[in-house]
Amino acid sequence: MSISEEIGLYGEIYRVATDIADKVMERTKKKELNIILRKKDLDFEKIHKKAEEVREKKRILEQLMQEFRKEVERVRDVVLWCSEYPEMVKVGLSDGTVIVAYKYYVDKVQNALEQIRKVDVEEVMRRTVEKIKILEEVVEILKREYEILIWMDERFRERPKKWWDEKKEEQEEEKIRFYPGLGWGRRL
Amino acid sequence: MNGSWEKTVERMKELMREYSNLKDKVEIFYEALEEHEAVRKPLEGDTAKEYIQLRQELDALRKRREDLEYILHS
Repeated sequence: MSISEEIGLYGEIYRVATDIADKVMERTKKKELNIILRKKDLDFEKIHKKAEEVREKKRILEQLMQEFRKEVERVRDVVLWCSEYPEMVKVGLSDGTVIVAYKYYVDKVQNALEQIRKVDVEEVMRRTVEKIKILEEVVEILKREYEILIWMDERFRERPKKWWDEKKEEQEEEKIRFYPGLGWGRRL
Repeated sequence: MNGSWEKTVERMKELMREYSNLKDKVEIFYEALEEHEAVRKPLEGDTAKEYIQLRQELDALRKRREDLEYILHS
């Protein structure tokens, strides 16, 4: 069923429901009046009770009509919104719900599903089992590397960093350079 | 089959988490080690000997690990 057919159907249901509601309300009014007229001098309490019941029925009916109108509005909004955005599509999910989503993403998901369907599951399972063995070895290696690195880090932390600057200074002093007025030489 | 496969997948996930966690830590320490080696005073005496031995072991371990990682990611 197309969206326009669907909204048409909703309109039809809405019209029929409104007619029924009007008729029911009219009848209940008449009925209420008849009861009052016929039993005017008999049992006012009973008449009052009956009238209350009728009012309650009317109230429920009006409430239902209000909810129905709201639902029609909501559906109309979605339909209008969809017509403004042609890139939107309706998608039926596996649990039965229908959602409105971007066609671009729906296509992406469908393509991905097609790719997944092509996958050789047995092969993937076999390769995964193989990779587990490798990964176990890698993790063991990493644990030992981590152990050694911590040991090294602890030893080096105790060693001064300033030493490097001193060493650079020494290297500088050892360099032969030109001293103006004195000529080439090394600092003593 | 399904039960055992689920266990396999769970084990794989657990190993991947452990691997990624350790890998991050090790990378940080390798960087720190490079910096230490460049700017700090070298180790001396028995510590230096032990260091050389461990450095060799570390290099071998790293090489082996990188080879295995290549297979893993291929």
